[in-house]
Amino acid sequence: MNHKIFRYLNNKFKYLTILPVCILLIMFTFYPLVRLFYTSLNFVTIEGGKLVEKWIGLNNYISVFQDKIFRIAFFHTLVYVFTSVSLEIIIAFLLAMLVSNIKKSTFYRTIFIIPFLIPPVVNGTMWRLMYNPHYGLINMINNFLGLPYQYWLSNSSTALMGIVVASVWQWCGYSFLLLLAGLQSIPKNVFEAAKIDGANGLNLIIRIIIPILKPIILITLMFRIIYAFKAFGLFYVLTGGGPGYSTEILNTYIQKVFMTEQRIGFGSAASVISILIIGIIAIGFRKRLDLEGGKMK
Amino acid sequence: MKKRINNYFTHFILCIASIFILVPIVWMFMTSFKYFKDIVSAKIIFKPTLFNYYNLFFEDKGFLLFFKNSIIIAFFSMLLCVFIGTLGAYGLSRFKWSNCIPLILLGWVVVVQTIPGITLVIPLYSIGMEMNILDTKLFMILINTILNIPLMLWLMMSFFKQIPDEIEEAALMDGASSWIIFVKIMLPLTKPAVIAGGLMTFIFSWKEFLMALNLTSTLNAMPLTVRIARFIQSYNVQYGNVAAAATLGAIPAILLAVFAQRYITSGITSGAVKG
Repeated sequence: MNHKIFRYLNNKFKYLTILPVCILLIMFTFYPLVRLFYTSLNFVTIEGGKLVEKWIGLNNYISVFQDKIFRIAFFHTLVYVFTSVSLEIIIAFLLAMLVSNIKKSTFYRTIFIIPFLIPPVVNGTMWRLMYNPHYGLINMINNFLGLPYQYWLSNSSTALMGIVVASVWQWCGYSFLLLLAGLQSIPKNVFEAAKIDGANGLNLIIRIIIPILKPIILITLMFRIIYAFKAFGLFYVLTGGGPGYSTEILNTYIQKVFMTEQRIGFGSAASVISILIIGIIAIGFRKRLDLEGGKMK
Repeated sequence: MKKRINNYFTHFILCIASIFILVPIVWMFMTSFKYFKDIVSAKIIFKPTLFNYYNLFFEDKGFLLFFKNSIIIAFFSMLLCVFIGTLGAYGLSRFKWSNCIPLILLGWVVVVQTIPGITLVIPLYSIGMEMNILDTKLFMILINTILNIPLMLWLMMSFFKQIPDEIEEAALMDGASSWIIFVKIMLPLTKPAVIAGGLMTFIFSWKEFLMALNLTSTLNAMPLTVRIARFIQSYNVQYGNVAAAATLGAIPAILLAVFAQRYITSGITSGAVKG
């Protein structure tokens, strides 16, 4: 390497390139998170447009752990994440298998990616129109088949599943894209060799495809679990956490605590706890991915 | 022969899946062209009307403003994100770093990607209040930029890494400065990635809801998504108007899927699959 290039690689320009990113990240993510942690240790009130903080130590955390609704919301979050992500990955995997078999797939790809580009609020609106007890499409079909009318979203036993369906509808295309890209990166001769050895159908999927795809399946799972923990718009529009608390998840609950009840200290403590929960899950996945030798971003 | 039957079967299943995906969209689309009486009777065949759209644009004075806010916020956060993201990714992937700055920076980016947005809402609200930029478009543009920066960084870094070193070396020999190399040589080479990233940041800012709901309160900066949510939660929901507003909110997404499917696919997958 000659002298000039060496200087280029070490010049000040490289610091200049990352300066804007660093400034934005520090101002709008690092500093806010430090502050969040600080307010979680305080009793906070809003007086005249200013926050007044009074140190109370870990009391907020104690009240979060004693809070019954927080526990319910946490449970619902887990149920939602588990059911929606697992359903979605299975459906997306099957669709990706089918699409990877045909030559002209542009049409299907286009259709499958529409849902996750649509705003969650619009998605919620659509499904409210579908679920509407009086003039929704689903009840029309029910009526046609002679089944009774259902109040899908205002019935506490079906509301969460109603949201899961809308969520699977929305996110399937995302997992589909990742899994399809993984499937297409497998060399064709792997399949041919497997076929010569007599593997076919289910055997081929379980013994050959899934093991090869394991890293990409884990990555897809990880991204989807992280995104599912972020879900908010769909819940807000479809049920707003109701009826009662039957579809309350951590995000909607924290939002309510913060915006409606203005219990800022309590909300901050609940936020810190939810960061820790998702952090532990994400770190677990990373460890697993490192073991699998998969690359991740 | 067997292969052909298999092929038809595959298409059949995929068509059914496509119908499942399209039905809610079409149902909303249809509702937006119905009078209230047709909505109530849930007819499949009806006489279409532009009544709901007329209501939105001419009766509801604020609606155009929400629409405009959404476009301004999405457009400027796209510009900012593309600029800052490509520059940062270039610096991180094309230079030798002898210190741990990139490691810390990228580690933090992963943290930002992982934490739920609601946890940032509370402190951002106080920061916005103190800086006096709460409920302004500027604040929403900055926040959307931050939310999309991780995606832009990973995407651009995976593309920059594929460019051979010789190109920069040759440019240096010709006496090009760092800025010239970045703008005139590296950016054109990664044009597809820049387009993909730009389109995705636009649509992600367009569909952002959580921050907008909590950090905007007036026509000053409130985007379309919040308006739609307010619409559907009012006591006397006018489903026709809601469906029309939601259809307008969905149109950019559908256009993007139809005309830029290739870019979206590469944007989503290149970071994750190629690593």
